[in-house]
Amino acid sequence: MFGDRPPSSMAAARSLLIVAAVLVGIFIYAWAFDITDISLEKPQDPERRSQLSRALRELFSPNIFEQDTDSEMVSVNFMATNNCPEDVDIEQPARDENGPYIVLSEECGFSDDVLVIEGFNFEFHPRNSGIIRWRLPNNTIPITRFELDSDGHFRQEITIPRLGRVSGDDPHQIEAESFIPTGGIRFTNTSKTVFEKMVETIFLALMATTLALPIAFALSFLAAHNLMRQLTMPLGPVLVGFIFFPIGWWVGATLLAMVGQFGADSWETTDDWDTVQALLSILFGAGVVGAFAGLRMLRNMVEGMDPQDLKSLTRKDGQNNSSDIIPAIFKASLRIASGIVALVFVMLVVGIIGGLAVWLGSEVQGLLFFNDLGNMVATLGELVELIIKIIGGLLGAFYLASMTSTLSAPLFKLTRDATIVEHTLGAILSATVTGMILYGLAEFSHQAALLILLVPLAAAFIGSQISPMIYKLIFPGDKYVKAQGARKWTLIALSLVGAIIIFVIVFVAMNAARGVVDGRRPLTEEVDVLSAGIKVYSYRALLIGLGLGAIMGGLSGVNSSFPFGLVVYNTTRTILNTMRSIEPLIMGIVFVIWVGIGPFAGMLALALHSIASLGKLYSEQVENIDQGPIEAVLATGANRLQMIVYAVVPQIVPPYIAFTMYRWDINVRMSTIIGFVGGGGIGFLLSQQINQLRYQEAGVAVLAIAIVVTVLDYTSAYIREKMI
Amino acid sequence: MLKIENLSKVYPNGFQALYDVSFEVPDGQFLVIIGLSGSGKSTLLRCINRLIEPSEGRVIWNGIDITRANDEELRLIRRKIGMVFQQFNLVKRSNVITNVLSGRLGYVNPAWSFFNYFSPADRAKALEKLQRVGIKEKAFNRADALSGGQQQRVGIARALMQEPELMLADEPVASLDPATSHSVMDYLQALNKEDGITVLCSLHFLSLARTYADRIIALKDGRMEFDGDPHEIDEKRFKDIYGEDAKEVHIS
Ligand SMILES: Nc1ncnc2c1ncn2[C@@H]1O[C@H](COP(=O)(O)OP(=O)(O)O)[C@@H](O)[C@H]1O
Ligand SMILES: [Mg+2]
Repeated sequence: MFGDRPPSSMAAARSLLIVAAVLVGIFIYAWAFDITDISLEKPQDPERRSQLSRALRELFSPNIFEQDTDSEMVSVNFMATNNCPEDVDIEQPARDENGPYIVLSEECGFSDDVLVIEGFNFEFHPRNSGIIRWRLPNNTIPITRFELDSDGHFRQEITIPRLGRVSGDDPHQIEAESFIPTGGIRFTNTSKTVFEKMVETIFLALMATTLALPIAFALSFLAAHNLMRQLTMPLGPVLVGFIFFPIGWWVGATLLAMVGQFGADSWETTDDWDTVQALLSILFGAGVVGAFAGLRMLRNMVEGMDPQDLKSLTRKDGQNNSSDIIPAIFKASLRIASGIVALVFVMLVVGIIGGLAVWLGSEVQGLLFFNDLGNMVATLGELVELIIKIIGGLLGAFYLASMTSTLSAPLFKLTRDATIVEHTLGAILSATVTGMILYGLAEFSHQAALLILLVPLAAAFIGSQISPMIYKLIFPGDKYVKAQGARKWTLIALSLVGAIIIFVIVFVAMNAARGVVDGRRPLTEEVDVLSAGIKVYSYRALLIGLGLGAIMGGLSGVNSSFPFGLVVYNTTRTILNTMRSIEPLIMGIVFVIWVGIGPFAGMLALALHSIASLGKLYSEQVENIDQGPIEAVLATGANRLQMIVYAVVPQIVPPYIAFTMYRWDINVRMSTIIGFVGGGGIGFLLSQQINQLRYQEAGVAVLAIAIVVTVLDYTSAYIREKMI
Repeated sequence: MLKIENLSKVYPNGFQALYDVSFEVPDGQFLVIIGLSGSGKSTLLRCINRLIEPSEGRVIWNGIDITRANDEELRLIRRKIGMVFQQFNLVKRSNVITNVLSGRLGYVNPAWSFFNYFSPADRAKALEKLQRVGIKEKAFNRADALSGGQQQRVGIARALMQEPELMLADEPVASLDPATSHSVMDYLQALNKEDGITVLCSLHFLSLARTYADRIIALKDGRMEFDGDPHEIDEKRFKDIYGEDAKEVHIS
């Protein structure tokens, strides 16, 4: 058959294509060659070469050690003139025949003449060193170094330095000073500083890794496709949860934070112990615990936690039983009550722990050995108190969101057979949520000009979801089957088109060119809506959100499945990837602006970068685990968290340890250079030394870095090998 | 009683693995599902405890519609349905007792279980279940240090921790040698006969099925091909189920 081999014209076309590709490649490399400024002249320039060899020589002559020296100094007079008399006779200092002395070949001469200096009777030491200086009436010029032979003798030829115009008759002196080491060898100050900075560097890396570890650990599950993929929820409850999230935040940040503050304040008084307040807080805590236990018991009784009792399920044979509704409401309210009590308890404990830490820390701070410990405890306590509002807000928000969405779920299911209600509800709820989101983004985008793109981008995302939905409405496919082939590509194309159209419309409507082209922030002009002032810009975003949301929610309805897990997965992944793409050095610059020059800034920069990169590495490990145990544990009736603890965590411990070691290793390397931007550690010292051309000292730092990195490299490789 | 009604499964890639499968399993029966590899046995078993979401049809167990249960209800239902797997699905790095205890997760307070705390009663129960499957002395070994047959017995002990009323076994002996296969099947039979646990077990060897089954269901390309007594399967039925070229092999 002919079809097996391409016809010769096609073969020719293919080789032509290859030739063209090679030619293009060559041009690209030529261009790159030019751009990167590759030259053969600069490396050959003798001046640069001598600079290089000086720098390298000093780098490789690090002044690690020093030793006290004794010196012997002798000098002779010299007549500096360009017309020397026949018979030079100048007075020389008295010579001690047992002590050191030097002899000149000439006692008179001038610039550029060559003389020989010989020294005798110097005290010898294998590590002696000496220097010859030319002493003029008003300054001293070092000429050369010398070294004694084992007889305490040296012979050195020197060229008389340029002396300029000689004034006066005072003789010049040539002096030779010989140094011999005495006493113990010790580290130079440079070495000591390098050591201190190296410790700082290692600890900086340690803190950054430690700080990143738990956060990356938690994030890694959210960024693992295999765990998140299965997590879907009906749209209705998700939307309800979203609407209540900010309300929960507000309530938590005010009320729950107050409880936390109360707990923290109970330790406030250090001088005179405020018994009443402490007692009050203990009583309050006890009350809360009691209430919690009571509610819990009541709930267990009502819900019939007896494992045998499957009959307590509300739905039998798919029928809803109306007599179940009253107990259901009762159960739900019990559940809400015990949840709230639990939250109050948690906040109280958090507050008390924070307050206790501050108090304890400040008590301990004065004590000799515990000073650092006290400082740390107090700072951590202060941190807790500082973020008590955030903790309260988060707890409140997540609690209210999950509670409302759980409670609303059965109600939405009731609408399953009433299509109109289902879709109208969807439209209303989704309009509210997208309105909230776009309004929030619009408000935020007043911060900087380019953020003006946030609203159009978000709207475009919604647009990309809407157009395939419309298509599916007109051409419904098999609902269990993922789109494939032509249908899949049509849907992708449609969602691109939808995104672009909506983006352009919203871009124009929001006058986003103001930010992108002119670099100005959105207008802050306000309009009156329902007798409340609202920024025109945000108002428009709100309207767009309401409109797009209504379409999206109306099309899908409250019972459609919302890929909650995938949304979380994609969001986490995007954040991690963005964070990872920002180099720690750049983060370092930002943190130096925020918290000032020093190791704290470097630590924060490295921690942030480590979160991103560990999060990614960890989550890939989660994705690679054996799925079998997950299936098995879920089949026993375990919940998702239990599944993670029993089926996922045991499988990922060894690679997590390995990657953490690896990251610490990387962090030590990085922290050696994060100092270049002011991030503390040895890099800061090194950059100073290099800038001031103190290469010998820089040599010490470089050597220290090399040693530490190598040692760590081997240790971490060893531990990793043992772990896996 | 377990009632499967018009169960169908279409995978997201469009492949239909089950076509309108319906049957009833009375309590206490040892039901064996046979069929070639790829005939839909695993899909069917996983649709029952909804490890796989069925596309159409209902699974009703003791009057409860499993297919319509919400997450919370599903967990309560799953607690009473044990499952063992062809690949054992143990956490290899954890020790045997932890694997067995994980069968109890549906019952315990989640907060405690995060710290790997189980009540002394549960621990005693785990040892008792291990004793029952004859490997109590391996309780504190790592799971991957056990032989295949022993691992499957750990899998059975884990399922027993749930105090199940129904046991799903997905080719429990397919990765084991013949002798071990019989011992594992004997344990399953004991659960069925002594404890009255209903067993749904998929196997692909007919000879094993004949030995243990009260009743056999055969699947072929996702459809029910046969439902009846083990000895009703004659040469012709066998060829219908396994194809013209198949020959029955006997495992002794
Ligand atoms: N996740 C999946 N996606 C698509 N097809 C699948 C998936 N899982 C199984 N299948 C297909 O469904 C059919 C039945 O599979 P399975 O139930 O595992 O059969 P058995 O257990 O009898 O060997 C097989 O053809 C298999 O290829
Ligand atoms: Mg199978």
